[in-house]
Amino acid sequence: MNQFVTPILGALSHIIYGKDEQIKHAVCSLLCKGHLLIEDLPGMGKTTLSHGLANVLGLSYQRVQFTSDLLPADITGSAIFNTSEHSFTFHPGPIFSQVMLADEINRASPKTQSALLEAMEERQVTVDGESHALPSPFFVIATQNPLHQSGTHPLPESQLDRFFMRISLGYPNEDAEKKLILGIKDSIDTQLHQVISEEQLTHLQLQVTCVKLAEPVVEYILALVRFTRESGLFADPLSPRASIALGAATKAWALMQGREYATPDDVQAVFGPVAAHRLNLSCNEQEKVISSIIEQVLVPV
Amino acid sequence: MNTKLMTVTVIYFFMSMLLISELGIPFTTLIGSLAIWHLFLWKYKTTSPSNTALNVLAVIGMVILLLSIGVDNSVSLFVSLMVLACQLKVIQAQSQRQFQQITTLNFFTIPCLFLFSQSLYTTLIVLCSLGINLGLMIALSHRQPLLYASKDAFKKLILILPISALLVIFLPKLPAFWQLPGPSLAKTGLSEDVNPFNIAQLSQSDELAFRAIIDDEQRFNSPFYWRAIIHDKYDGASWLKSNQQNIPLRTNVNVSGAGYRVIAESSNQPWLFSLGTSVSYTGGVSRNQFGTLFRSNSMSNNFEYQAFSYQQNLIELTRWEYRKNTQFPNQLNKRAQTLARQWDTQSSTTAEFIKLMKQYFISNNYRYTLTPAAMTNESTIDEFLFEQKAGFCGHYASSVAMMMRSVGIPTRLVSGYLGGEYSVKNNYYSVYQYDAHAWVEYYTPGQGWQAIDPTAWVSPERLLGSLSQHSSLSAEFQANLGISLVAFTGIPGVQWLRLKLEEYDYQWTRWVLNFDESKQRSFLEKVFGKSGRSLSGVVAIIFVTFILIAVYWYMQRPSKVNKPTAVVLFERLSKISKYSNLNMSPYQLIEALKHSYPEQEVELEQFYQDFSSFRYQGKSFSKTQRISALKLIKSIKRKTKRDL
Repeated sequence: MNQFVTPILGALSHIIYGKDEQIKHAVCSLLCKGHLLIEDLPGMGKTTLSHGLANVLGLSYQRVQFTSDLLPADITGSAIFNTSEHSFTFHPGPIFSQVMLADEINRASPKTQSALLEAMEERQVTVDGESHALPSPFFVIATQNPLHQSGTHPLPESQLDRFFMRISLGYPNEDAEKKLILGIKDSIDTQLHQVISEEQLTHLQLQVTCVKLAEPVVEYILALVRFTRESGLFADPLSPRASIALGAATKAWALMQGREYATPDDVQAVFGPVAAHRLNLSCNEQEKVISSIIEQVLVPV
Repeated sequence: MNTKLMTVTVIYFFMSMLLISELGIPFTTLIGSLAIWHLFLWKYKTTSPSNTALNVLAVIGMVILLLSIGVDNSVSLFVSLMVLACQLKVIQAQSQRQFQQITTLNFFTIPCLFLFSQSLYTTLIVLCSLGINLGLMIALSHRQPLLYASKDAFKKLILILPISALLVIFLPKLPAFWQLPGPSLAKTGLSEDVNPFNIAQLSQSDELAFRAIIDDEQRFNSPFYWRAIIHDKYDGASWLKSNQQNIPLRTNVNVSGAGYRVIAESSNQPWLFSLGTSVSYTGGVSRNQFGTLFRSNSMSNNFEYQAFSYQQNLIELTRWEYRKNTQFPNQLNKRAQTLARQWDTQSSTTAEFIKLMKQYFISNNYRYTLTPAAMTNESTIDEFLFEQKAGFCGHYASSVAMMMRSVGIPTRLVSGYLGGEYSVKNNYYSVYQYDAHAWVEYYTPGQGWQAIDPTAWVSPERLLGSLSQHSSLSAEFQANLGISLVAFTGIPGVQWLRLKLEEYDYQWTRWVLNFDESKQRSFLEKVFGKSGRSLSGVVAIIFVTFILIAVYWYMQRPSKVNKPTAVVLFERLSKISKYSNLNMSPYQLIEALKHSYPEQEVELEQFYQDFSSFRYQGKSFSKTQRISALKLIKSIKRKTKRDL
């Protein structure tokens, strides 16, 4: 395990019990400068995880609760007339923070959703013809309710693709839940403090790009992607952007394991979170389908 | 200074060592010192010397070669200058372009060895050098390691072999458009003028003179006296070649029997070898009035001919011929003349005279030696007969011939070869330069010319076979040869090796070098029947087309990528394990194996480390890693079997 990643995971495991895999995926996504989508029922700890991540990394944090009447300007901010100076001044919205939690993103109207997603992709906001750069690192964690819930607007496929990974926390196991019931109800803020500095994070993100992605590993990624395109089982096969994301996630995973080279096992570890939402799989069927793909595609030696 | 170019220097040095007897010691010394200089420059990473220095060196070298080799021997001079120029170019070379020039030029320089020898071993040496040169060419232009490139080059050379064999067999044999004059070889045991007395040591070479296959075994019996040159002019010191030696005679003669075949090595002399009086109908071979054979065009390559012996008609000598064959300077060698006259008065016939002479030689303890003392006296024969009493064939033949002439018996000296080494397996005789011999022919009215060999009186062993089998002379003989395989005949195995090598060389000469037009024709007729030649053209075209198509296919084939060792080993491990039909990543498989064979955990972990560092980190997979992996696979295999 990487020396910088271990304390992050350790700290986060104090607030989310028994979800090491999901925490790792969240950190992995962050190391790749990718945005994270958490799809789950309400009350599963989505907010806790995102808040915890921001705290551990020492990043500024804003939370926006998405509702159906939320307007784009409510996120990006807007120019407001200043009566004393007789001019419009820009008031940055909640998006101007390093970690933004977009809670229940699929409750907002498509218009608002796309405003957020545009900002995610371009890492800047344009209001009244003026561009405002977003802080760096910039990391969006969006949570989403399962689509069958009432009053939701599903994210279009094109916008789902912009999320680097989708994870789902799921119900905690019995032990963890018992712990939750008995234990810790103090505020998370006091418990979690910054574990690594911003420079260290930037350095880690840089290190990810230096991980060696050897020929057989690339071939494996290609084989997996090609399988989704050629098997005819998927209406929305993986895009090249997905391949790139898979490569990056593999590298980040390898780095988190404390290696400077990636193996096919790293690909298998990140394949689910990276590919599932892009293949339009619901959280319930995700596990089964992903493992069947991994079973069917031969691992190159 | 390019390291790879040292190889070229080594090749040149090797060439100069091989040519030491042809081009002389100054040449070898020159090339050798240039090679050492190059080695020095390379070792100390000095920059190449200036062009002026090289030009001065070139001039000096040219002067040395001109002085040591001389202008007459144009071929040798040309070859030595060529090698010198190439060597200097190698020292100078710095750019890619110059490397290319050198390697390309080598394809001409290296085969120059063929000008001096065409034996199987020369061919192998030239082929190897060319292969290395080709490898060097690839290595320099593709920037590959030399060893790797050479392997590639040799592979390509092997591909060429069938095509060259095809060309040899089917390509029409056209006469050469132009010919090199051929280097004058000094090695031949024969010379046109025989003067044995000023030679202190008979310098002998173990080089092959010719090979002979005697088809008519009833007619020709050992010892074989191979006649080559007739000497009928004696000037008191040497016996000179007869004027009629190279005048062809075209009268018809009656021949019978199968005759014999001779494969003559290149000698640059026109004289061929015949048993008794012979005639040959092979193109380019002429017969003179003595019944010896010669080539009308002296060529430096190997040459095969067939000859038949015939009975020479009895013709009376003309007065002119009689005078010519009894001529000698009578003011020299007075004592020998007196002795001869004494015998003459005691005998009534020539045969009796010879008998007296023979008795004299036997009873006076004459000795056969290869290292006689040089005669200083003007009357050399007197000195030999009455003082030294030791000599080789030339001494005896010359003395006897002079004495017979002094009493009016027409006599002439014959030089040629005696004996030969018989190869049982292939039924041929090899005659070497050290088998060179001289003997005497005399004329008696009514009986014509007859041969006697005075050397045989003194050393009857000499008749038994080749000189190499001569037991009492072996020490002396071997000392004269210097370093060669023949000289080590006594050591067991060496003789066998020598005969084996000799046999291969024979096959090479017979079937490749001497595959001439007539042999080609008879071969094609044998294979394709009467219309062989025209049919062979068709076959050749079909064959060449076929080969071209095959080569095309070969080039177009999907290049098969060889799997790296680590991958092969991993696949083998996966195959023998019980998880072979599961789709597992390497890590998963190793983990599963660790689980099933906990006692092998360390080895399995080590193998996975080696495998992943090779496969995923781009590091190398060493031999020791391979060996330990093989060991692991073996033990897992054993265990799997046991489990089943």
